[in-house]
Amino acid sequence: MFASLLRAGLALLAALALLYPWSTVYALGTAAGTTINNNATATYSIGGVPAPPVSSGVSIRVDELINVRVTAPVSATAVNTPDSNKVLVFTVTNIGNGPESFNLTPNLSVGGDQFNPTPGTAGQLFLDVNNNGVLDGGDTLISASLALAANQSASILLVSNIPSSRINGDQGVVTLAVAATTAGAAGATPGTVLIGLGTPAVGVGSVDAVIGAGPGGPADSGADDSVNGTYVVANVTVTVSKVIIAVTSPFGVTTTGCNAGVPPVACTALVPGTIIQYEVTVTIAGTGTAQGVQVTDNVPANTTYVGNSIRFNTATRTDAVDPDNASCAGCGNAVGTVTVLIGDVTVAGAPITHVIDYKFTIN
Amino acid sequence: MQKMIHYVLLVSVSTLLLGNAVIARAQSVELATKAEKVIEVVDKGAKSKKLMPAEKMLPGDEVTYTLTYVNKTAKPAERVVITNPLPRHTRYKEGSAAGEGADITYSVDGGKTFATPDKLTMTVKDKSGQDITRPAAAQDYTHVRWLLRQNVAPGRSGTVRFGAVIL
Repeated sequence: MFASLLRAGLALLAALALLYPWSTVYALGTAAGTTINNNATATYSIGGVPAPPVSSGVSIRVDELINVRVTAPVSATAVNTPDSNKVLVFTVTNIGNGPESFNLTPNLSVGGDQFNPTPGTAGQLFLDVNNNGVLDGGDTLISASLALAANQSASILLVSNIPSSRINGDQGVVTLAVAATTAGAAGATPGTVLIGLGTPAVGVGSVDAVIGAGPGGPADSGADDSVNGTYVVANVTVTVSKVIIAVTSPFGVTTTGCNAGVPPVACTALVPGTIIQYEVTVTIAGTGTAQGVQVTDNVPANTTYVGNSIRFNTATRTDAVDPDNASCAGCGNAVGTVTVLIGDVTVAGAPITHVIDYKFTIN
Repeated sequence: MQKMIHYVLLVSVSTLLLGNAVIARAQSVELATKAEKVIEVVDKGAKSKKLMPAEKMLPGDEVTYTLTYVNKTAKPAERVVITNPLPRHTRYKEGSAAGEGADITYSVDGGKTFATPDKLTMTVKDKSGQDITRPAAAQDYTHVRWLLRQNVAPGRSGTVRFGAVIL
């Protein structure tokens, strides 16, 4: 008998684990449906002789608290224009003490912003089954309500397409609203009792449902909640161009202006012993931050790097790997890499340009 | 094994019958329990507590348990001791126990020993795994006990109470 009960219990746990694979269930309050038994005992004596103890008990049953929260994405999602299937990650948490289902309603037409996203090509709402904040294979499209156990939370991916022809910094604000599906719950004043409509987390039968208080205080219904997320157009572009700006002949004659529309003839007279000066221009444009910008260029075959020839925005740099931002350690005959670290570049408005130049000798 | 179970069942049934018979012949001290929900009422800015039927009970709610004893025997009841383990899923509400003419003590060790709050301690492990002793807090209490200082005369009754918060 006991063994079969235990087996049934384990089977139930396994079933719960299958139902709710995407997040942890952690107990916060006593589960709806729990019976709390109180038992008192009195002992006494009559005429110095102990009498049999007497006991008394009373039971109360814990009802269901309906209370839900949705939390906003940690930061705005950077998008291009146009763009598709861009994700905002919301977290929905059932902070009540019973199992409850919630309707999730996105609103893509929130005012006060610059554009309205449209539902993602892949679908609009997904359960982030593997909890990685990214829309990937295992995630499931949410087409009906979301069922959450007591004190369980779920990561929800709101997926949108972004219109074309927006400018950098444009924002598209969206709202995700959640509401308990229990009849009469959504919007009900805290303390409202829905007789017999509660769902017990333990035990059988029904309990009453009581509406909790929302994040807005004692007058705010805890049975629904909503929060905004933001898409921001932040397409930073990094472009790199490389040209020959000057050559020095084996006889020591330097010709500049090799990057002109019609370069001097000497610029094309590349014979062994000629020193070529390359110039790399890095342009960061748009709005946002380009992170860890770094330029590298291998010393080509049949050339030899000219020592300490790197300049950054015309300032000279040494070849050693040291605090200056350029190096060409061990560079020589077809060996080594010119490396210039620019780092994070934040741009807003006019593009930012960095110029790097260095020299190779034709063998 | 099966025979043993039968034997135990028989014994308990006979005890039950015997107990019924005893109650039928002689009166005893009787005990009754009532559970009520404590709600805070604000009237003209003054807060007060009110007892309501134990309905709409949720985590965090406070329950007052009122225990009523009455001596239905023909003789004084001596050394009346009422003991109430804290119900599962609750914690003791600090300062809530009351009882006229009763010395109130508490247990933090599952009812083995009882003492007044100032003498109750808990032994816990610190970060390095060493046992350290600290004063007990309300949530550590496992039992409440009332010892009535006076005998309860025949026909007399009284009440004791305590509060518990649903976890």
